[in-house]
Amino acid sequence: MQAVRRPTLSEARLESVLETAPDGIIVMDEGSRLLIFNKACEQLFGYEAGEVLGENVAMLMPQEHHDNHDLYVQRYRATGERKIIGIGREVEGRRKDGSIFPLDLSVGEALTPNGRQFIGVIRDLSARRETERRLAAVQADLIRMTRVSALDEMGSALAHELNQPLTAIMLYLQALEREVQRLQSAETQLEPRAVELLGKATREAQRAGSIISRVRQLVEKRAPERKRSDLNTVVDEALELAMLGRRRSIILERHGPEVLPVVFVDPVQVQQVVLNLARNAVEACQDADRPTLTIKTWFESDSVCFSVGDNGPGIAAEQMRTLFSAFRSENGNGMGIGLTISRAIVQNHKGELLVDPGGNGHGARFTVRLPIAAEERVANRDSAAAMPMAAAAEPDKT
Amino acid sequence: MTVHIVEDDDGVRDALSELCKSVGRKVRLYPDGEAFGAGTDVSPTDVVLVDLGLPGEHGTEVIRRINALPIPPRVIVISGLPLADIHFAMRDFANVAVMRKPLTSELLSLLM
Repeated sequence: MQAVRRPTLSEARLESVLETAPDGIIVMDEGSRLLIFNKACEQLFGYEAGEVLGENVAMLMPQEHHDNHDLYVQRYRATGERKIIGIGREVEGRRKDGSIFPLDLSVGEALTPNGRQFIGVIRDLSARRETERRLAAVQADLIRMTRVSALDEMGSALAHELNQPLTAIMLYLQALEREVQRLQSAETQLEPRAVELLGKATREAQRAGSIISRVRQLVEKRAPERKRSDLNTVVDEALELAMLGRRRSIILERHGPEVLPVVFVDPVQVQQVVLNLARNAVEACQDADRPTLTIKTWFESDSVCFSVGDNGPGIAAEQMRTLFSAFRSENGNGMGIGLTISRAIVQNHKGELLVDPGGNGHGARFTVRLPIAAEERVANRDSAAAMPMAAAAEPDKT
Repeated sequence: MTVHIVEDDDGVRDALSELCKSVGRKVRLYPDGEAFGAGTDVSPTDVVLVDLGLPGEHGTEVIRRINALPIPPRVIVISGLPLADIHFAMRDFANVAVMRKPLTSELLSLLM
């Protein structure tokens, strides 16, 4: 009977809304029976509307909620206490194939001539979750690398700083030993106890020296894992991370050609450099009128370059002297360590990290140059070396 | 033969000087490359000890100037930098002896 009746205007409107809505829309009655299941829902859950209409809504939920859903509805009817209606929350849905996916559910309530009905609007969260998961993984990677590099850098900086006085001590002791030899050959009587103590002091100084050498070997051993990389991608991914969680909006100006020659670098390490420079730049321009970061990538005869500039006050002359010293840094904001790490990474790649301190109304700009020619030769040689082996393995397979 | 010592660390510079004196060498001390200057008062038979990590002008600049002298004296580089940094800094100076800090008695034999 109802099927032959021409739809009223509002029915037609509702039909069109349900058809075109990008979000899943369901309507159920007080008994949790599904009355409406729109097109988007069909795609989300993998059911045809015909398969689910009249069924209990619990079939769209994972097993653990399945059994409780009727209780939730009953409790609401008894107490009127709203746990989800008008609030919305993240819940899980179950597709026809049994797979579970995260969704954002908003629930509304309507009092109709046919009794109380509930309207649910469903948004699929699996894509967003996947992006969040991937970003978190990349960030965790970078944080770990930064920590490892910071430790490396602390280790080698500490070894270096201790090395100076130790070098002096060992040289003094050597000089003293020469003195003692001279005195003894002149047959001057020297207290044997003094000679013994001098020998002990020398041994201990040498022991300290060998400990420092070991620490150094440990921190110098780690070689970067290089890959053929596109600097634009490397830079953009790092920038995305650098801008995460910035409450104040920062203007990002990005310049550079779309295509750059391939560089043979450790992408995670280079991202650390970008991240460090970008964070310093954000820090530097936070008091500026319209805080702006200018990031450029370009290509010169034998290198691919990027620069990170800001519109902050620039770097003061007295700060420039100790800019790259991990332990002597007077600014105390950790910039020294970050820059020391960055420079170490760039130098490991046989590149250069240059500073334009700016000032007089200009912000600072850091430029990194990464050579292409030599690294590409290595890559070519490696692939050429790998080929005869592959060819040699071929007859064995057949 | 005079030993010229270009080293910014006071302790290391003084200790090097004491060691050189203990083997009977005359010494001249410079806290940085600028103080060493053009090296015109260095005689070809002298030895120059240069630290790489100097404040201001880098140690390699000092070596470059010495190598430009008509008859360059012997140069020994002393450095506490990581090996990779030393290799990088010394890429243009293949024939210069490099000694890493802490220095062993090897230095003494080079000076005698």
